[in-house]
Amino acid sequence: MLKDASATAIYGSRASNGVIIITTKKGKDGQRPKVSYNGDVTVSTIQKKYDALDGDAYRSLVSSIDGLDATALGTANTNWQDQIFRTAISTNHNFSINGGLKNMPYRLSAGYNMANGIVKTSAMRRTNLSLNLAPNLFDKHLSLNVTAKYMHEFDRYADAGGAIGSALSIDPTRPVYDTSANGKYFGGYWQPSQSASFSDPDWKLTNNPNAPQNPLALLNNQYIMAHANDFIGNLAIDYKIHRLEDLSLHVNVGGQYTKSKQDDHSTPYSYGNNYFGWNGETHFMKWSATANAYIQYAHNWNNKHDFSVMAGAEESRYHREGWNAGQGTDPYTGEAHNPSVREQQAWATHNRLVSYFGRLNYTLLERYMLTATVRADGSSRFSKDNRWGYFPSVALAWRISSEKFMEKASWLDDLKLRLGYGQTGQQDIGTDFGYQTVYTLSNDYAMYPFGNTYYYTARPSATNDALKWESTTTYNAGIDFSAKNGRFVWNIDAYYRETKDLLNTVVIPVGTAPASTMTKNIGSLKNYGVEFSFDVKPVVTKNFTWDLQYNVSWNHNEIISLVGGNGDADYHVTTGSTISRGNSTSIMAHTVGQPASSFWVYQQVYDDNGKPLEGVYVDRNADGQINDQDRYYYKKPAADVIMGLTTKFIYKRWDLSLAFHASLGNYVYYNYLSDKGSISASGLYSNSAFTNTFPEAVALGFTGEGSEYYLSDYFVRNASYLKCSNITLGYSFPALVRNGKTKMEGGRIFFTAQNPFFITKYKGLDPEVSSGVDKNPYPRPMSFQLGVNLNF
Amino acid sequence: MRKIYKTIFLGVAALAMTSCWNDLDIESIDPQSSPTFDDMQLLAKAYSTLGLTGQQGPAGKGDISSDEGESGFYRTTFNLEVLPTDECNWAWQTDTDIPQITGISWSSSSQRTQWCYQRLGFDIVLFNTYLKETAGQNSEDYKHYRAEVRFLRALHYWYFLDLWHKAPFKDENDEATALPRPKEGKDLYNWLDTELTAIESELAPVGTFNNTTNFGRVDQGAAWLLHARLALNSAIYSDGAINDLDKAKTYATKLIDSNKYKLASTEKGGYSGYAQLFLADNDENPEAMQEIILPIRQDGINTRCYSGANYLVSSTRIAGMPYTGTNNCWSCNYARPNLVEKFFPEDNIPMAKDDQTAIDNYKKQHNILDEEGELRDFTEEELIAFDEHMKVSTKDILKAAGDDRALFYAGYGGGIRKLRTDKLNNFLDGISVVKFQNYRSDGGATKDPQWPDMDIPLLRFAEAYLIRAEVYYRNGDEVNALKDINVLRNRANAAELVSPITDNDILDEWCREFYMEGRRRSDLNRFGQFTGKTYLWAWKGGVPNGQTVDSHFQYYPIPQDDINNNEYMRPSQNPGY
Repeated sequence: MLKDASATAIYGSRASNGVIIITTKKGKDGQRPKVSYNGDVTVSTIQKKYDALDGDAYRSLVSSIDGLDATALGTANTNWQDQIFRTAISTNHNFSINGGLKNMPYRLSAGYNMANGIVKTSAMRRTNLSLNLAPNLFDKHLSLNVTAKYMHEFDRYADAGGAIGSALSIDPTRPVYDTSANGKYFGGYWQPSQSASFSDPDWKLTNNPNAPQNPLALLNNQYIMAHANDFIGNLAIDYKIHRLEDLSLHVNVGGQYTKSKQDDHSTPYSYGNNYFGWNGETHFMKWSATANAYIQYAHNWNNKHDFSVMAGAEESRYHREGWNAGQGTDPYTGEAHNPSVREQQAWATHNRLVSYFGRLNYTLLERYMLTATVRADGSSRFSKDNRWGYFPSVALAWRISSEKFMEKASWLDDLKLRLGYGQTGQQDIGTDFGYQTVYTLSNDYAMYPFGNTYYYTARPSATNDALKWESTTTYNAGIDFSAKNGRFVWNIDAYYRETKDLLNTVVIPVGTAPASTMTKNIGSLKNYGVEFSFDVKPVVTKNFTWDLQYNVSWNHNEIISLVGGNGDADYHVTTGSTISRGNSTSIMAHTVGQPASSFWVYQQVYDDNGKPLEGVYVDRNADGQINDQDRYYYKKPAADVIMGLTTKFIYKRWDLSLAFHASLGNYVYYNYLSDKGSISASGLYSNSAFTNTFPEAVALGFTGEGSEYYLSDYFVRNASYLKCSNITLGYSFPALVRNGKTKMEGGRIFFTAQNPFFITKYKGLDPEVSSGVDKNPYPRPMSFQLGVNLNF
Repeated sequence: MRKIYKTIFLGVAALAMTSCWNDLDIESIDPQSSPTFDDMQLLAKAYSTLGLTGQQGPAGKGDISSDEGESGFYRTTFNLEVLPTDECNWAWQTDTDIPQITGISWSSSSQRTQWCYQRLGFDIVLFNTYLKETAGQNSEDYKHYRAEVRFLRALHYWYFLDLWHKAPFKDENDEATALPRPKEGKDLYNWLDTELTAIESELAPVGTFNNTTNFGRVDQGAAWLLHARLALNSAIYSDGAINDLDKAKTYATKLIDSNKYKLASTEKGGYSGYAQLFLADNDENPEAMQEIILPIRQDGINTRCYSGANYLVSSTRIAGMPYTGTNNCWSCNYARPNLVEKFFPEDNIPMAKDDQTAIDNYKKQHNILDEEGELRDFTEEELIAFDEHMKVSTKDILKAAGDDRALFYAGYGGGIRKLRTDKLNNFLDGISVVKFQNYRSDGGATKDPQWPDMDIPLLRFAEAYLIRAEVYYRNGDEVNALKDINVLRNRANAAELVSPITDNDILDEWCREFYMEGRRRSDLNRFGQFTGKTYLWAWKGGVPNGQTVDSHFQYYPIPQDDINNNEYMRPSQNPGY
């Protein structure tokens, strides 16, 4: 994992927030082939279900509310969440052979993964193959590394978000199945209904489109099957020039290609496409190609001076396209209904990046190190004037442990002091041609007629010529310490990062463009913090080892400046996910002097018993009105401190490891409570259907009548947590079987519990919500895995 | 051999490093967009800002970045002109800004105000773009197209003047990215007056497009009517400096005397002339078309959005009502009691009563039972028959009111309604309005079960009569005022009004003729009754029986975002915000 600016600088703009390098397994020269098999079976189940009222509790709630007719409810007691979740079994198998022919290490692996989701009907099957060859020729002057990977995946997607959302809203007094004559219009499931007038005079009922639907019917009446093929290839060539071995050339060429096809089918008994059904397909294709080349000169003078310098260039191209088409069909007349046509649904886009870079490394006396890098990055997403960004970086290190005065400290492996400075750029603006004016044509459903002639309409795009690279400057200092042969290792890092020309979408002045918002460079923000980690092996004996790793980091985030607002201290830019209540209501904003995406809310007023008074807020500026000027910035979704802890015990052949992670100071908007918080006639009954709620909302007692109660800080909750990520118990066994000369080289069998438990004060389903708004209903599963690893 | 390899690799490396910076000059490959456009498509886009919200119907590639369904021209102006008045209520009081709009208590952070301001501003950018792009074109057709787009722009600036008393002003001669500057009150009035006068001679002659070839385009008649409307409001728009009432009368008379438009009067298919104006085939039925000067075209297949006809039809219906005309009923808009009282001053509208026994007995008598012999819900035909049996159908309401314009529903479909309420709970807290019907006058099928074919009559001929009547009245000539009012009342088969008449008679007649057509606040403001305590209607000021609201609410606030982003609009915020 690379975090400091100098290390990431070489990877360019996409490394702005750090780099994780994954080195895949390779064979070794001249090695006899080793075969290994990894397999596991996993059982997953839902960790925690939402709270919702059952039929009896709901009936008594409705009876207690004036203006509602409890006799209109059903008689059942349906637990809708139980209907849609299941315990899922998955399995994974993987074979690999690695070895080395003379001068050519190789690795070949094949795998098959079959996974089922905890939401009914969701399933995935995946096959993958990969090959790696790393030949070296010409007496190690030319080494090649060839990697090719292929994957084929089949998915049946389930609308989990829709099913869970419905399960939590639908009336719990209704049965799952409807055995009466009405059920035949819905495939035997109960659905909220209204009278129908279709071409077929015998189709008497259809769904009530504004009432929550039957979630089990949603899953079972829909078939979304996708097949995808994915191919990744990479060729790396390293050539040391003969008779000038200090000079080497490196060329790397890689590409990726993905193609997928998805069939979308809804039956005519479904809720979303009742009577007409839906048959459609969605296609997607993308490819990307990267080529880079650099030349490097390296020389070492008596270990006193070690010097290397390199310069190179890189180009990447990305292409994405797709289309979809489909229609419903009137079963009585055979006519197409709302057809969606490929020509009008097709889309395609592409972008390119070009970079030039150079790096210099110099080590003096094996203990004073200097690295300097410079990069010029260009992106096709910006106009010619703003296309290029220049990103230099420099790092210094002092290996103190190599100093003469540290010679006596034989217990010390390594003590190093690092300092770094670097700049990286960011160009993820969400559109590829924001600076070019294009005209978008309308589709068949958005035409405008004059008389009887219908015309397509053309809309000019809103362009921002001035859009440019977002750049981040990082200063960091750190100390690495390692002692007793790696038994005691710690690192500490302090950093300060300033991001300029922050990219965000903001409201623009009315009348200046054919749009109401635009992506712009809106300001700057700073982050600073400290990270500390240690890896200690407190006990190392012949039979028993205890390894403990811990890391903690503290970060402070603050917006330094925002363009616009004209120096007005109240100026803010709303941002982030919207909440369920209201109309596309934002609950977070950026403002100068506060952390990015702070919650921007009213201050709740409480009664003498500590209960919040609905819609009553503190008039913070004492002007007699309650409006936006009375909202304030309260907490943020990003944590102040995050920690990780892994501990491993090895006793003879047994191993036990536990991993935890924790987050402190992260806040979440409790969207489930605010969404279900209208306990009143209008909140529980609307569009001729009842909607469910849960005990905490009932206890809160808000009515939702005439108030924007959902903008209160009462819903912004502390979601600090401690989670156990996994607990693994394993047993490594020696070669058990001999078959002539072949010896099975042993293996390991293990049992893992993933996400077994977590501790938090947050009352919602899962406190780990990075967006800050707890709106995505998909719960994290808990799983138990039994696996085996065999080596031959 | 080695030399060859060495050369090859050096060559490859060199190639790799040579100029690829030109590779960054690429173009969009999106098949849905193009660097060029067709003039007719840009003209269609200019008109479509009235009746669509984006490039995909019903939604998908929205023009404005907020909730696309709420962002259309008709819905945002309707929100600000009708929802805060005595005509209707929006049942979903937890929706953004609705409590403040319902009770006239908004502030400068009002979202609904911002949506309307952004939509009007966006449309004007498109109109200026069209005028810039077609600047050199001189043919007869282009003379008309350009004048029509100038009319659409004048219409939008009229909305700015009426709602905010000022506009962020730009025309096609300004730089595309320059900040607009405020034009207000008398200045904006004078600009509109001059602009409308200038384009009147450039537009196609009055009545040219009132046929199936070009229905939907703007002709002279539209400019005259808007000019009359502007002049009628001259006093309030210019803060008392200008009195153009006679100009209003002149334009109204021009329109009436042209004989190119007529009021829809003849009954057809069971629908009165007035009702036919708001049916699905009001772009094919000559009886309806003859009165509509400028429609906002809509179509069940090709012109779909959530902010136009679909809004008017779906929001006023609840599942279970007869004759919904759509399968998607939103149960949002219902009438405030004051609207009903314009037709039933004694609150005696025929209404369904909450009498479960009577309903059950009727069901038993007529065998409305399911397969197990239990009472079941009515089918639509049975409900219609039951409403007629209990004499609470819409036909009964029309008969009791003695006025074709009393298009309400208070029968048993969807639930039992109240006339007035002391708590805003749900859609049944008031009488349903069924003025907008997605049914054809010839009884034929409409094109889509969900999306209406009904066009919105944005400008219609009847307005000329009422404008002239009001001018006569304000000038003291009651005889002629009554003549014009009674033309409309005769069309509606309502009894004539007689002398003496007061302000309220004129104001009430505007309501009876044009309720739910997007103009009520404008009329109330002109009579000084929108704010203040002269007229306290239900839920004015947020209380069931109404209370006074401060006079600064007569205009909406400039949205806070625009105050922040546009230094020229910053000092122009309306008083009280």
